[in-house]
Parts: sequence; C-alpha cells; structure tokens
Amino acid sequence: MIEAISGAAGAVAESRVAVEQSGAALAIAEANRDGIKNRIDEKNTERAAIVAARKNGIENAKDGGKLMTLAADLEGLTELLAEGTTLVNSAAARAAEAGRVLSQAESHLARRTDEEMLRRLVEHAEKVDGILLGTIQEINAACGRLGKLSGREPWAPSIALAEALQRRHLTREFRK
Amino acid sequence: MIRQGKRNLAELKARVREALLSGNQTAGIRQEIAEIRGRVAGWESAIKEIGAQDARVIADTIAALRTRIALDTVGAISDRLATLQSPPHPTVQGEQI
Repeated sequence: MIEAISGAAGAVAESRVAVEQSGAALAIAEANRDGIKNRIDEKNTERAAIVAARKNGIENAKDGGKLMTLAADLEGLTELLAEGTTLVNSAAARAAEAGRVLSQAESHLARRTDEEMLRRLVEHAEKVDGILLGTIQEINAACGRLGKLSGREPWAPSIALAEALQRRHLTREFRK
Repeated sequence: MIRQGKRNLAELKARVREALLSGNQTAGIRQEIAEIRGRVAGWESAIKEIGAQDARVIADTIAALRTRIALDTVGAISDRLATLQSPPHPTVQGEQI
C-alpha cells in the first residue's frame, strides 16, 4: 500500500514539474507575443506621427520611404504576431492539459491515501477491540474478586460508543 | 544557428553542383561545407549536452519531490492515527499514591 502511495506521489511530482515547465513556457510565449505587439504599437505610433505631421503641412521628402518601410515592417510584424499567438495558444493548451493531469494525479494520491488510512484504521480498531475487551474482562474479574455483583461493574461504554458498536454489530453481515 | 548553418550547407551544396556542372573548382566550397558541418556538429553536441543536463536536473527534482510528497502523505496518516492512540499506561512509580 505504501508502494501505491509512493507511485501516486511520483505521478503528482511529475505532474507538478510539468505544470511548472508548461507555465514557464506559456509565460515566455506570452512575453514574446506581447513584445511583438509592442513593436507593432511603436510602428503604428511612428506612422501616425508622420501622417499627422503631413496633415498639418509638415512634410518631409523622406516620409514616403519611411511610410513604405513602416508598412513593410508592420506586415512582417503582423506575421510574427500570428506565429506568436499560435505559440501562446498551443502553450496555453499544454499548460491546461498539465493542470488537468496534475489534478487527476492529486485525486489518485488522495484516494490511495484514504485507502491506506482506512487499512490502518481497521488494523487499529481490531487492536482497540482486543484491548477494550481485555480491559472489560479485567474489570469484571477484579469486581468478582471484590465481591461486587455482576452487572454493577463501575464502567459502561458511553452511549455514543455503545450505539456505534451496536450499529456495527447489527450490520455485520453487510461487511463480509 | 543550427537552422541557419543547415541552410548555408544546402546553399553550398547547390553551389558545388553548379560548379561541377560548369567545370569550376569545388575545393573552396567543399572546405566551407566541411567547416560549417563541423560547427553545426559542435552546436548540436552542445545542445544535446544541455538537454541531458536539464533532464538530469528535472529527474532529480522529480525524485526529491516524490520523496517529499510520499513522506508528507504517510506522515499525515501517522499523525491522524496518533490522535487515536490511548495515552501511555501509568506506571506504579509514576502514580500518585
């Protein structure tokens, strides 16, 4: 059972590392895309400034060449932005998948943990059963030696314990 | 760099073909090809080594994390069970008489 927990822990560890890696890859992809967006914004601002200046009658012989270069740059940057966005989308999909796998691995580990907990609790209950029965027998024996009447022994289980034990006893057949 | 190197190799191979067809010398181009091949091989080897190092670091990280998660999990089970243990029996020496 401990091997089961160890195996499940291994899957959680792998998944956590995968989540970290895919998260880092997504952050890089987003930073790259945002960098391209910023470059596009800069180019658009530059172009808008030239256009605005020309509208105000401030013309420069080099404006035409600059605008052509800016248009070519923007075209190239738009292509890069499309590539960058595709990379972000695929990185986001990988990150989401890694998160899903981690969630599954954690659920699996929680289940293995509960199974191991239950196994140990049953083992513990069996031990406590023997201890409690032995203790009652010792109380009865001591009371007998002291001449106390049977049924008048100084200890009885709490009502909650008696009811819980009774419930277990009455449903014994279902537990087989 | 590797991609660029491989592109350069493809271009040089095309030049060798052209040189062969036109009867020109190919020794210079072949030397360039050999140099680029050497550089590409060096870069690829470096990338492989970096990849192997990364893989080792990741494997170590996963192993350490796995151990920690397993220990934490088993520890939590033991802690929970510890709350269900009966207190130690009083000894004769320890009892107030």
